[in-house]
Amino acid sequence: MLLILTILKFLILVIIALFMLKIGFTAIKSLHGVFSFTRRREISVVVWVFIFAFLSLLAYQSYWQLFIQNKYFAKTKNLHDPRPWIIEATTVKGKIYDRNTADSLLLAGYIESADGGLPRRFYPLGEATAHLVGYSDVERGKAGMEKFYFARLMGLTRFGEKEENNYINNKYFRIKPIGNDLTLTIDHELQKCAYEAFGDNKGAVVAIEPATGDILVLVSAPSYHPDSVSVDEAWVRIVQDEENQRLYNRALWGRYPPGSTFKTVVASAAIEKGLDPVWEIGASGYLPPGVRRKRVYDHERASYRRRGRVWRGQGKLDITRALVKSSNAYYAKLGVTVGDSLMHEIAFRFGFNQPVAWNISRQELKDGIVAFQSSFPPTKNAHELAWSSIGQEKVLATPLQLAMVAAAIANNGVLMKPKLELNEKPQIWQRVVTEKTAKKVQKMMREVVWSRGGTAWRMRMKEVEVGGKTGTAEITKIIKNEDGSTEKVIVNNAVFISFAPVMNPKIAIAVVAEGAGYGGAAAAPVAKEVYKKAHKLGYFKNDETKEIKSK
Amino acid sequence: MTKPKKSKVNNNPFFGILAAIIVSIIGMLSVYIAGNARGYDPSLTVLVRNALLMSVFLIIYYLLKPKYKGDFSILVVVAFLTGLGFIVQYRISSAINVDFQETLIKQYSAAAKKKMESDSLTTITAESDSTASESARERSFDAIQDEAKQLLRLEEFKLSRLVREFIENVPGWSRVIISYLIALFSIIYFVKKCSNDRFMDSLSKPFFWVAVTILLLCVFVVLSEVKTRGRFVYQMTPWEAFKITIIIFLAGFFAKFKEDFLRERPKIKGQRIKRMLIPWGPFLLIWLIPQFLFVLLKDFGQVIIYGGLVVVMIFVITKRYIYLFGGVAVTVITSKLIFLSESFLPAHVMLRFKIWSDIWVLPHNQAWWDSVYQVMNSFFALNAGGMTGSGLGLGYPTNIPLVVSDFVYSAIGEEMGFLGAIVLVSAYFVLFLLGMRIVVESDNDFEKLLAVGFTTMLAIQVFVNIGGVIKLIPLTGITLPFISRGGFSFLITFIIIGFLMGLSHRNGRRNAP
Repeated sequence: MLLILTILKFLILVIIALFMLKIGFTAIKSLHGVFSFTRRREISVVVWVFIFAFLSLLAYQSYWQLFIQNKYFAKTKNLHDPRPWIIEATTVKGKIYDRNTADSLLLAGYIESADGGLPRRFYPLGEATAHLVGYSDVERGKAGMEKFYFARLMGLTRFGEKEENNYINNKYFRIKPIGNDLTLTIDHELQKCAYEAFGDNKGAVVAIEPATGDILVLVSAPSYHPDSVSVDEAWVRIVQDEENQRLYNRALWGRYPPGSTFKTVVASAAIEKGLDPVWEIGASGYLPPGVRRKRVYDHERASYRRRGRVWRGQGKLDITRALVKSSNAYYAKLGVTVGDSLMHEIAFRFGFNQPVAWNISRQELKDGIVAFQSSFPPTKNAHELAWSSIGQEKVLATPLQLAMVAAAIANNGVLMKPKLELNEKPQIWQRVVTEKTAKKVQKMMREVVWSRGGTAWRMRMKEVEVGGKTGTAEITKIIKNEDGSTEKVIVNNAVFISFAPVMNPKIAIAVVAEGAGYGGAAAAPVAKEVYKKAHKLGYFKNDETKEIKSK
Repeated sequence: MTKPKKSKVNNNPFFGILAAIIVSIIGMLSVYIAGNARGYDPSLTVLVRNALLMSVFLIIYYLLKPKYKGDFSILVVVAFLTGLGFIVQYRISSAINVDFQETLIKQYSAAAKKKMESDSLTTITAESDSTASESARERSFDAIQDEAKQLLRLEEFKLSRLVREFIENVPGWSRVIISYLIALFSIIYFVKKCSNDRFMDSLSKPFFWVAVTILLLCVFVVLSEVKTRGRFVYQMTPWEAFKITIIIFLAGFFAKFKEDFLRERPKIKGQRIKRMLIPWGPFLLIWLIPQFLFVLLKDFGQVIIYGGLVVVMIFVITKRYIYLFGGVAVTVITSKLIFLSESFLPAHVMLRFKIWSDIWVLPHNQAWWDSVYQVMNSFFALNAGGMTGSGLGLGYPTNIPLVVSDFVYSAIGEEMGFLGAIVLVSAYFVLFLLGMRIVVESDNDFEKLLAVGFTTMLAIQVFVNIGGVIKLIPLTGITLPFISRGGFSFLITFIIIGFLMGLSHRNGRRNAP
């Protein structure tokens, strides 16, 4: 039927054109001499004037219809042409599934609208997947997967026979357009669990399957309900909520100082270099050499002083024990010892200072999935290097990057490309450290949880053996008072990276909670909830049914 | 100079007209198929009605056949153009009705809610019992909704859909059918009239037509006063009738005073003005009064049409290039003056000029968008169409405001593409050539001028409309002949075609052995 319509259209045009040619030819014959100015000159002039007029009409029209390359026109069309929105409203867009398609719980689908109009786009998980799945609204634009995979969801991509058929229908015939479905690597149970465990905190949770790079959880909080986007009042409330920045996807775009979690990177670099020094760390901390001097103290010094006690130093520490106690002085010294070039080399291999290499084989996404770059800028002196080594100064990492650090260590030193689409084959991004080093760091991170005095002691649980590293990043925040004056306040961001189980890691999780306090106290419990849920879902079982091994 | 050969005239337009009917039926069917598939529900009865109206062309052919000696090609081209018009109108109207009803229902229910709230306020003050007032509110809402349904005639008949549609559309039907039938049969009437020599003589008396024109002017002035009260008169656009009387007057006048126009300038000073006054005085009087009125009414499309018409007619009769170039020069100078004298012109005309001269004038804010809204939507439609078009019934031309009348060309551009536009413009051009053929073959000045007038009138109208839609010239409110909706302009266009065919018949009769 679709073909018939095109044939009919051209049939009409051809019939009219043929008859016009026939009649026009006889008319031109009867007007012999007029066209060449040999007879009835005044009529010739009139005829030629109108020929010129009609031709100029067609020529000018062809500019607007076929050849226009004006940037203003493209902009205006992009902004005001209602066709894309009409097409989107009348297209049955593809559904978005999570990795457990058998559960038939969608991330995005359709629901009959109450007022009997067109079916409404529906997001069953609501706020939990708001940043991940996004929205698509006439006035407010698009976001999330609805934006990144728009072409596929609208059925305008052409990979394989089914998509090709949809493409031809949607592009040329536009009769009941159908989109193509999308299956994400997200696990909706874990996603929901992570969002609920996060509570009122601000921040993000990212969970990655180390062996494949599958992103299992991508939560950003505080969130918004996708349905409220199309409601004016609710939208205004979301946009005006400057304190919470609800529309900001913290998991991909939030850049936080990683704090002590960066020590895992330093440790990897040191072990790669063959360093395992035993240093006496006293109460006076570590003074980096150079011009600008500021002592690096251990975090116990402040807490001891607060309780009215005197901090007498850590004593002798090796690299493992220093990670367990999270000794700032030791790792600052270690960082300076390792040196700037190797530190940057290893950090670069972990994914710092470069754009995220998504595992996308299809070129349909022009912009790709937007995730900000994590940065570890070159250090000018030992002072900066020392402070960078404990994740302060100018080191910034997205929650996704932190999860990738954990995942790379958990995957025996191989960093997989992060992927969101389930059908893609796992791809190796790069080897970060040797397997031996990675195994060593894994053991060290296990000790952080299980050893006496470990900062992540809250992660000890019956279900699964977790390895992790806590972090508490101090940031100065400018707070506006009610009377308009500004005030500088030091806030602690809680950071936690981890993987489990230690022997054969299946999940790596990074949690960042803004201004929530100590990493072990505020961020780790969120990860704990997710691990418990994952255990219930059977992620840590030894049978091969639930997992994809493709190394 | 070679003697013109006797070229054959088309005596058998049967297949042409049949093809036109088939084309229109095919087009409407594909609109019907696409519409049903996309869900905007085109009406089958309207399709049948349009097909029946198209078949009237065959009846006209059979009625004219025994005596008619002119060229039937004009009828074929007109049939094709009308068929295209039916397709486009069918396409647009079947899409609009759905939206229109929806918006009506929405508007009405919104109004009903407001009404309901005010009602409930009174009931609350009257009764203290809240449940009773709520039930009353519900009842009143239901009643209002029923009222709305009755108003929109949406209640379910227990009849088949075809019959229901027929009954629902009868008021609209009779209006459309009657105006179209009158238009089509006016061809026969004027063809027969034109074969009458006495009728032609009466036509060639210019001062009689001065009287008719002035009478029409009076009617026109009165009607334009009434215009604001009812939509009926507004839709009629009575000044369309001017087109015919003013062409007849000008043709008769130029034919009669040809020598006065051609005479060399008298040497004596006193006589110059007197001599010049005889041909130029009445002409300028009759021509400038409606021009002035159109300027007052801010209808600059008509000004362009009558200006171009007069320039072409004077040039054809005097063969002096100064009139042609003078006309062009006057147009250029006036448009320059318009730019200079901003305060003189109404704001919306000034705006149209500005948009025409530079559509991308910065900044691109809301005010700019409001001013370019119409033209830009037309460009979006054309751009969406591309070379081959989106297909009949498969585009989105209803976003353009006034797509039924002024902007019908962009709907064609979107759904049939640039190829369809070429075909349409070439059809108009063939019609123009056929008119010019009548001009070349006619033997006296009056008939020649009449044919020139009618032909250029149609051609200029086409140029002004399409040029406005694609921004080649400033936008004016001129309809596209044969395609745009509007019963009265349709009637006038067919009277013009009747005159052209009558003149062709006179030529054919004279040349016949």
